[in-house]
Amino acid sequence: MNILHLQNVTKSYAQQKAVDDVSLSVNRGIIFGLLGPNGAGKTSTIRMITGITLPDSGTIELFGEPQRPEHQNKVGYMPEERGLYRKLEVRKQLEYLGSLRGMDTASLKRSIDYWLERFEIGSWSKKKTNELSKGMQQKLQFITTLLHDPELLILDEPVSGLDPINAELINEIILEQRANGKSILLSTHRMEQVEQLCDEIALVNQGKIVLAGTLRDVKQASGKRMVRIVHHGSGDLRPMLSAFDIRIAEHHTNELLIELLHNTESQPILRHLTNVTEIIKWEIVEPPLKEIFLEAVSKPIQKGVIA
Amino acid sequence: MKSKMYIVMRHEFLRQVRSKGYIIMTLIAPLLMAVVGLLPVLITSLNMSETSRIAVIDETGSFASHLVKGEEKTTYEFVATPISATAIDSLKSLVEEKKLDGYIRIPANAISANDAKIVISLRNTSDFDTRREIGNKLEGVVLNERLATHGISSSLIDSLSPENSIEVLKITSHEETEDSGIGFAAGYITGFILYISLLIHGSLMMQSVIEEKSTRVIELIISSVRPRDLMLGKIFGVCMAGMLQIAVWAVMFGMLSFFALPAMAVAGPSLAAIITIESLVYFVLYFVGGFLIYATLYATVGAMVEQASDAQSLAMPITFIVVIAILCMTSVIQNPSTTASVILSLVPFFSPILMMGRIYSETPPFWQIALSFVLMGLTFFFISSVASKIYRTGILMYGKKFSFKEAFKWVKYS
Repeated sequence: MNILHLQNVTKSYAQQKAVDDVSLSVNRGIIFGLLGPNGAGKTSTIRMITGITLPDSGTIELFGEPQRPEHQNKVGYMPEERGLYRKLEVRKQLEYLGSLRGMDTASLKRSIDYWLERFEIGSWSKKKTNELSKGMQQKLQFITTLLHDPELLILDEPVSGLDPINAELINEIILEQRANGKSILLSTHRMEQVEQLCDEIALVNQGKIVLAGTLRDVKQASGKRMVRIVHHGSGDLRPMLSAFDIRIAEHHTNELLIELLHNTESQPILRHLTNVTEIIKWEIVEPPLKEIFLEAVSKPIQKGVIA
Repeated sequence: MKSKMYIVMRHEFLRQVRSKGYIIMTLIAPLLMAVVGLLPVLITSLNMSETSRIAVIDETGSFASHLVKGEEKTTYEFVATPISATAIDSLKSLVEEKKLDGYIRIPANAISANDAKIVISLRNTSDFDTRREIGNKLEGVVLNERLATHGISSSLIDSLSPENSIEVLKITSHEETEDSGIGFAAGYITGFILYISLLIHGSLMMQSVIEEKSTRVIELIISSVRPRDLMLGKIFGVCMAGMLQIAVWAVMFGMLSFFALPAMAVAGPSLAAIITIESLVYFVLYFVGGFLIYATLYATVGAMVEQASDAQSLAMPITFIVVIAILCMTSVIQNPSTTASVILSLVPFFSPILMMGRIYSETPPFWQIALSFVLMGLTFFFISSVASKIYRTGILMYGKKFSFKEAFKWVKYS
């Protein structure tokens, strides 16, 4: 069943088309990645799904029905622009925001106790929000998203500003929510998070969806052939590859990621390199999402088309 | 399930009531008002104790017996006549050295001729009390002297001076009650309490909207609550906080009048006559009406700006409306039945202050009171529906222009 379905949704601000004829579906129990550069229309799309703004045209369905304000109680939203009442105590903050999502007092108390414990900020429940560190405020924000046990979680850059340990905790909870049959719409720039978590993705650029599908489909459809090379010593190998029809995607101290362009074979390159240096690892790899992302985003600009 | 508007209202009420500013204001505002009320009286009485010294150059020779020091705050010192120019110069320098406050020159024909000019030279000509006092005194002397030349003795004049007391009675529902100006005072005090309350809570309302906007928490809130419920919930919450505050003031005032007024023997019975159950009911109703209208206006302004500093200039016109009502108040209370007063007090933005003032000074016909409520209700209905549209779009506009097209689309979504 579709938890979320957008059909030909368009939204303009002034003269600018922020969202241009976007259609997408999110099924129950999956993590859906909404990717795209800044200003691509991700937040505009999310604001329509959360009922903050309305589409100019097109329809939005939630939980199999046309969008209604009552759906707001079944959606958890973590906006990219984080915001909490600064002077409110942690527990009061959660009580207010939870009750606004239609929770009754008893289940609200249970839920607050559980999540404060889970995020190890229970001892801070009497503190004012502005006395918390940034990381802790971030956790609090995440709790407000989860409190009412929503069917659909909409997370805009959920781990930005968090240290790796807390980022991992967030990822763990996102996966746990999926295991519980919840759907998650994840908007992010972090490709490693997408690769780690997402089942399906849609790549948005200039208000349009330019790529969509399961992670695997998208990677295969890209047709990219890439090789990861780990070599000995810190010498720069790039000059030695200038003769080949390839593109250097990444280079680190003793590691290279190259894309084989056109019909370039990998074996001649390997033979050439073993003559000049010691190759530790030679691996044909799936194209990283980042490469697909960069290509898809840069295409229209290369053609000189600006929508 | 509790409605979200109720949840917002409860939250907003508790938030206001628990804030330090609110508690301080509730406790010290009556004190401030008392100081503001008493200060002019205090200053005047301090000034009264200071006497001024005036030299008199009396060329008629008949003033000395009349200008003896009495209860007045002016003492007169007679200078020998005829006077030389150098003596006048020395008087002037005494005035400049502040040993004298001025001098009076009375020409020899002052009593016989009407065109003889009496000249009062003062260092401080803006002391109207002294000017009036000296002028009245001199006129009295001239009149007495003239009457004396016609053979009327000063004892006869004294016995004919009117000393009747004049009593003013207030007519309410065919009964005459003693009135010591307390109706005027009650109207004025009520007007000021409303004025202060509207401004304080209006700007608290505005700050609360701006805070949600500037902390960006609004995005989360608006994804949970319909903007109209949010706005109305906030308005009702702030309104209740304001009412609680006034109730506390009323209790404080009641205690004060119970303990202090009898002791001072001031206007006890007439105060009770003025503050009736009826007038209290009207007060609460006008307070709520005024509050809803002004809080809505302030909320709208809050939604249109991004920072508190931008709000001041936009909120100015609203403050202006309240100030106009306060400026009209004195004249409306003094002349409550003139066409201008009736029309002004029916303007919904003015009714809470002006109609209330009229109720205290001379109860207006019931249809006018009823009409003012109808007009206020309609105004609130109209501005709150327009405001909630502006609110819906305004609160999410960060550095974007507000558009009516967007607002119109919101109307269809309910």
